[in-house]
Amino acid sequence: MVQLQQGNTLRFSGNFRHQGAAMTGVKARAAIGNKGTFGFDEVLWVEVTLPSIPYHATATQVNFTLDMVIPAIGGYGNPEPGIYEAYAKVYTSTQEIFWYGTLDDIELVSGGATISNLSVSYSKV
Amino acid sequence: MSPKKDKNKMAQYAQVYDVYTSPYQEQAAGGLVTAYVQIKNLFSAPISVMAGVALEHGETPWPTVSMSPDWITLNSAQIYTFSGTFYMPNQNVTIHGYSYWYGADEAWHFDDEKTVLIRLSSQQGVLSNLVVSYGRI
Repeated sequence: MVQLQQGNTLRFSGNFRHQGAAMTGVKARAAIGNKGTFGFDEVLWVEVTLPSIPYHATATQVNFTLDMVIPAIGGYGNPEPGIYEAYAKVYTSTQEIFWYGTLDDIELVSGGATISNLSVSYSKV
Repeated sequence: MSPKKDKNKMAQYAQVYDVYTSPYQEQAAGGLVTAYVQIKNLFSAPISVMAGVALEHGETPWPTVSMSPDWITLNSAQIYTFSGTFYMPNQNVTIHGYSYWYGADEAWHFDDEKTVLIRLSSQQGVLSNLVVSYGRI
């Protein structure tokens, strides 16, 4: 399992195969979240437009890298600490190919300062 | 841009015998295409001939294709095939092959031309086999 907290970078290294006409505007997206019955509920994601892919007469491997910087975990508007999984896709307006990572393989942990154990005393002054 | 010529005029000495591409006359965008121009010596003695190729697909002036060699001396009735490569644009392209002969006046004279249409293949690029690994860096 990969544990992540604020400030860490999660690097996705991927490859796929391309064959045929040159393509532009191909996007790669990776996310962590929860894979459910109705799809993948993304908690954090990163996406880039890949460089133009030239014509390939035969299926040819194309590599890419996506870096996801982990923001604050927990608190209002931030991802909740917990156990998640990853998925990635490479897509155009007409094609999508997917990859899914191992379930429950990523943990987001809160690394921030916490406040607890409030104690108060009082007296007449 | 290639020289203008009367379409009804026959070749004088350097006939453009054929213009074609390899491997097909339909290509995918971005694919490497080889254009061939065959020139035949119609004269009764050896002459030097030169080939040129322009690509007509909307851009002006028309892009040209480098041929190596681009000229050669041919015996009478001999045919030589010139070739050069280009990347298929994202639209149909007309390959315009033309010829020159070298005169006693030490100048190249435009002679003949022929065109062939190369259609853009409707085939799209295909993506497959996505594999990803990840780790904290």
